[in-house]
Amino acid sequence: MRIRLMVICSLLTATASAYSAEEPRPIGLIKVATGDAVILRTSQRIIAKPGYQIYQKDTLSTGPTGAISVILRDDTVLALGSSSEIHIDRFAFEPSSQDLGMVLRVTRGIIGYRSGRIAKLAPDAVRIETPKATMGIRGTYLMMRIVP
Amino acid sequence: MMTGYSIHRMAVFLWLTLAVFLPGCAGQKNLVVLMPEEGKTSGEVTVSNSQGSQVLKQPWEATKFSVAGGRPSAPVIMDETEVRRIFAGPLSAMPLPPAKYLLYFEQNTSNLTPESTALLAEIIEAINRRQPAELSVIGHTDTVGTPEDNYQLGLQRAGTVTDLLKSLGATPAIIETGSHGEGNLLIMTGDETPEPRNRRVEVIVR
Repeated sequence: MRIRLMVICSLLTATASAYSAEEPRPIGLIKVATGDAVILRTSQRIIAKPGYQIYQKDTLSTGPTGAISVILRDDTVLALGSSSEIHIDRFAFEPSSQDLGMVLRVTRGIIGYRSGRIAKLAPDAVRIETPKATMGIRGTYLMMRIVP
Repeated sequence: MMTGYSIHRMAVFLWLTLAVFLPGCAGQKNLVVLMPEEGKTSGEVTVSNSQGSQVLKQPWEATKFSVAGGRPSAPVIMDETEVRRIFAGPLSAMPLPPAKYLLYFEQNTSNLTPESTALLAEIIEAINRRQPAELSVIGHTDTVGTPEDNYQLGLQRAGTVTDLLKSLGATPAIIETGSHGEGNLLIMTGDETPEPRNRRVEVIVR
């Protein structure tokens, strides 16, 4: 029994390391991008275009004329109006290994959020942080205005 | 040296600056509104900070909290027109919700049933309406056969559907194919049980 457990553990480790050695997996797709809309990725500033893929830790940011929307792998939708910014601090959607969670951080703007399957499968693992309040989600479509 | 004229000009400039920017900031509070969802009961959102907590449950229910971090206000139902005005930007950028389809197969094959073949045109239409679209195609099997063989069969089924869609003119930006084999049954059965509803491919168009 112990040996079998060890084999399983080492297999899991092997899988995990194989995963991290690969390119990081995209977590979603830009559906709409108009005006002044960018993706901030580490130190890069990428002009957002429909069809671009996004990754965990990306920040979506719009200027006074911008709008941008994304649909994530678990069907979550984020839509930003003008002068808005949202950081995707965590996105985990691996139902087979029960690794589920999402942390979004909104720093400013007018933003729509429609929850996807992570919120359905693990509602307590979904959180939206803003400078002055935190939101917990249960299968929700909401709009927020966050004043910096 | 500052002349009377330039002082006057600066005052006008300052006044204009304030007039432009103040209405935008003064009185504007943080705002969270629960939106109605088509064909679903609304979920819940809990808005909390160190001063208090409020739960929104009804469509158009809203809470506000000050920029200084005051307690979230008691929920009130907001006027729909007002909500649509404030959030016109994000509302206009909201994409269509994902479209989901189940396609079924003849036993132990990757041949679609005639009913499912007839759905392909509708899936292509869904892709075209959502461009740039992401197509996710996951194959599943019933419990007849070994898990390994069924994983492969699921993969074949997903591949068949993807190829069919492409040959019929689908051009999604992103394609994700995969298999859950017999590991994700729609209808729970024992092992070695033929079940047409488990021999399926799940198609999601985002």
